[in-house]
Amino acid sequence: MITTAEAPYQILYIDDEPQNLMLFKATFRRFYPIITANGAQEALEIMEANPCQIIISDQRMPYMTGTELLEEINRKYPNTIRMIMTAFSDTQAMLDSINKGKIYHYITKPWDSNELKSIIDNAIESYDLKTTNQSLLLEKNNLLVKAEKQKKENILAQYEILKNQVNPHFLFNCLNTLYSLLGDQTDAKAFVTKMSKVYRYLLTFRNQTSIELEEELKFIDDYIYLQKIRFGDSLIFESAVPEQYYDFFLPPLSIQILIENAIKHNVISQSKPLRIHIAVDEDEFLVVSNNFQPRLEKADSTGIGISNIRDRFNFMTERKPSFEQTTESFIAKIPLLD
Amino acid sequence: MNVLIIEDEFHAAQNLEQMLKELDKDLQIVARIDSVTESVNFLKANEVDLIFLDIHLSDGNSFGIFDQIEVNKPIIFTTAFDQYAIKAFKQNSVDYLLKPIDPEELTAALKKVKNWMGSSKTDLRLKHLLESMEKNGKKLDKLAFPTVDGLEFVPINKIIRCESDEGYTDIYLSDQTRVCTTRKLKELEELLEDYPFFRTHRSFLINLDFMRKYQRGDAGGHVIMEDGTKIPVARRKKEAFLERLSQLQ
Repeated sequence: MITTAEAPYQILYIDDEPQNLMLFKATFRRFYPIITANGAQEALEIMEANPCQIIISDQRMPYMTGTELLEEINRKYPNTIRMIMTAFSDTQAMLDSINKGKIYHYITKPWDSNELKSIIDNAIESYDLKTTNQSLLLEKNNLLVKAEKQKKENILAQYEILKNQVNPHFLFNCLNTLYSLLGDQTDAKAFVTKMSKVYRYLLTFRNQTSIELEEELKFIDDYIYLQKIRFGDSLIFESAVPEQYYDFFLPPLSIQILIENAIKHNVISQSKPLRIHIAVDEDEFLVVSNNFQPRLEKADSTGIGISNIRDRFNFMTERKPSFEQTTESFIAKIPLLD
Repeated sequence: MNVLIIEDEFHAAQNLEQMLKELDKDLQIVARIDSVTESVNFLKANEVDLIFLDIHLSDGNSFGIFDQIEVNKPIIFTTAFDQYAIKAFKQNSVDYLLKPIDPEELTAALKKVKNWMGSSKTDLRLKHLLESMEKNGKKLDKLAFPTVDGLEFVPINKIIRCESDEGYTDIYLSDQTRVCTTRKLKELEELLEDYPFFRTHRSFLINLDFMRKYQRGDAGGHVIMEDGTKIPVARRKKEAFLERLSQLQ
């Protein structure tokens, strides 16, 4: 038996007739802590000052019916267990109290004290279950959050490990050693130097949102140098960007992606050289164009580079990049930024 | 000209020696050293004209050399990928080469050193670099700009804004004067990276301490400076700018 002092709950009983309140209290005060109210208004005031967990209300009361009161209590204190008590078996009132007041039990007057006690005991048990469930749920959510955090930390740790595996310092020291080992092979040495520059650019600027055109063009020169070693005269590159545009900005690697696309998708041979041209038009768009001579098989990952460029510019300007393909050429225009 | 190579990797040192010999017959490589301790001992006993100095040496960081002796010979730093050092070099206009070393860049660096040796100017740049490293975040309060007849010193906290103008940069000061320099806006941006400056636009670098008001608007909006000038904020810089402003408050 739970004593009044240690009970984790209180019962609020509401009735507009004082003798009903007295009878209820007299019958159950030995078993439960009980608070009584003689109307809806007083009940709500009590709830505000001293929340009760089990609410039993008479149905027929002036100003506000029991159903209306329990509906209100359900809205404000959804965790409470609510019961309605009535002498009249009014079907509509019963349905309303079930649907709107979300009641636990519908008690008819006059009540039998043993019967009502067992109903209240069940209600208390149900309240306990409900709160235990809730705290378990909360705990579960906390654990989930913790697990998620742990997962994130693991990924970060893995990322750190990966980063160390490709430690730039190590990479460039290796390239430097390779350079010295090449002795008097001038072409190979130049290749290693340019390759180092290309990777230095990639590693230094890949996380930057925009870079000056001059920097990107310098990088493109090194990148083209590497590609020309591969393709020789079959790759023709012409850059005609006036210096006045050098301090405009664009996302790093955007020109490189366009050139890489041109190389990936087109025939490059002695008899059919690929010609890539860079210029700036009157609307301050950088124009990268090439003669269109598609390879027979479709290269994979078509369109990823282009959608990547679209997305990156989308964050930075209202001016849209455009990509136009005719029978003779492919023309990409990307806006230069202030 | 006597050259000292301080480098802990055998191949890298050998390679640099080879390149130098090919570039200039007059260069004498007097020694190749791989540690801080040996460098200090060598420099105490010998005179050299030029030092190539790697940052990571076998027994420690090469800046340790300067803790023990004063070096007033030209130094060209070499590094593979040391972003903090590179930033410090850039901010102090100290010569450095990235490994693997590009022969063209080596040629240019040598030429610069020779020009410098021909004049009577003392090299303050290394001193500045070391000071800024020692001060550990404490900042220099003036920028020096070469002018036709010498150097002009500009107090950083008097700069309202820098504006690029066809390869030149105009620096507008709070005393309503203007300094014109051949330094590019991008270089000034790097130089002033640790100060309350923000590059709002390809043509504008502003001192946030002189900002009166930010107006939202087309593209990235505008900033009104205390001298009344209206500076555009590029759309691409808007987020970063607002982020920076939120840090100021």
